[in-house]
Amino acid sequence: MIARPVIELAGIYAGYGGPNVLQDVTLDVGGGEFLGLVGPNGGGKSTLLKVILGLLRPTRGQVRVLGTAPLRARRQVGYVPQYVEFARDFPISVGGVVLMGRLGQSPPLFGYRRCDRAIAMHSLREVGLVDLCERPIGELSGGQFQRVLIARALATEPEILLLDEPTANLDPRAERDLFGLLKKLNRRMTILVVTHDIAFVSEYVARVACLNRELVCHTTEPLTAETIERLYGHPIRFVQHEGHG
Amino acid sequence: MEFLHALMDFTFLQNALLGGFLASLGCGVIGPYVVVKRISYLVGGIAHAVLGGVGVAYYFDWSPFGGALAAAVLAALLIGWVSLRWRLQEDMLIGAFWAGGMAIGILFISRAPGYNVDLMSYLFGNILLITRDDLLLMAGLDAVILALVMVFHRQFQAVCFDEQFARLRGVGVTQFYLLLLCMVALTLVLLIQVVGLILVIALVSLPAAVAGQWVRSLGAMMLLATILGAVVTLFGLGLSYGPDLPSGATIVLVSALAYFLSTLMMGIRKRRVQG
Repeated sequence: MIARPVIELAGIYAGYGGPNVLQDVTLDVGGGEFLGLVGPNGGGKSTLLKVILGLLRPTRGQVRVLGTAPLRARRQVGYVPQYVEFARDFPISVGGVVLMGRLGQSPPLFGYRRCDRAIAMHSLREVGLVDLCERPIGELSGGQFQRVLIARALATEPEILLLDEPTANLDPRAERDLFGLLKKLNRRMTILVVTHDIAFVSEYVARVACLNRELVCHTTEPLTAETIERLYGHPIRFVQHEGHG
Repeated sequence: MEFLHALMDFTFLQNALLGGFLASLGCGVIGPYVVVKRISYLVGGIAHAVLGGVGVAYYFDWSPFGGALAAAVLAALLIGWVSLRWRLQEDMLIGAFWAGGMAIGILFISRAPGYNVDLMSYLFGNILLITRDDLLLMAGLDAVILALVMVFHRQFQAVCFDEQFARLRGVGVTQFYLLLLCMVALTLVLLIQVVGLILVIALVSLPAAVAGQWVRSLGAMMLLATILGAVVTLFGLGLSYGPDLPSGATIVLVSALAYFLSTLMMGIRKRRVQG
């Protein structure tokens, strides 16, 4: 049973001037769903997120987010980018990063309001890092920084949460904790998580979509070895998952 | 000591020191953005392109200060725009503006009627020639920079930290990036009188880089970089006064030494923490 779709993609083609990275991708994500988007590197997962966020215009096809154009829905979408790409020597505290999530809502001039700070603290509490509020981000572990980015996205008070490879470079324990947290958040928001970590994702999410330029499979039942083989073009062992990022 | 006595007696030295302090304020506030955004090469390009404006102003007998200001803002907008538009070729494009701007300046100055230009003072600065009017102008530029930073600090910080997220939050990333570069341009004009356009990049980036090694927030970096800039100016001016050395070069050398010293101390401290 799928509730009213909050993300609707119909026949999407998209790319960066060269060959299409996405080909004829059609996908509906229902309200309150927890969807895992898996696929090989270069398969277009991040590109699909860009299309949903309105950062990239598809060359063909229709995108609707929360029933409207992606650009207009942006404020209701929380985005958690790949944390590996950050310069961690940037002089800013955990609280400072989370407050950035308030930028769209807070008035544009001067500082943050008291309610912005309260919301930021609440988001930090949700990811379990409220004690590290004053800590510079350079002193965090990878897993902690990943949670800070999630808190920043939560501070935007989103209806949909998009995460790009949140488990890259995390150890299995941190990975498990992270999916536990997402499961909790899923009670009140739709979550779409991009990952190449098939084994983990299939344990937690309700539905998995597989993307390799085209949407290869799109199942409600648990992922089987057969569909993985179809996706990657060769058999791979289910339990063995290496952290290639 | 001799310098301190002279400082009591001579207005030109007092003006020089005050000018140095005003410049330290501007680059102390802007420098941290330049350092954390890693755009010192781009800023170097803007600084050198300023000579083009100075040359044109001389040729047409306009105010060289006005020429420098206009050229700095124009160069900031142009270089900023091309670096956003053609990111992959950013390096080469900045180099072209850097050299092209200087070449325009040299050509116009060579054709300027009368050729009575002290080119050296633009290239290497002349802090000892700062007048009361210059000081007023410098204070005005400082006020503009400070006011903009106070109003838009959150946006500048977001653009430096994570452009994509800032864009998703509805921040006009392109506009704020270009505004930031224009403020950098104002800072450069402030500093050109002090150390000259060749060495200006040192005073924008080095005090901020030193501060970045010791404190962990942009605000603290600004405060510390301003103080460091003032201290470096004072020392450089004092050291150069006795033996009559070029003051701009001395100030820059002192700040470079401060940076190496700080890096060294940082390394020792890290080793101690790990060991």
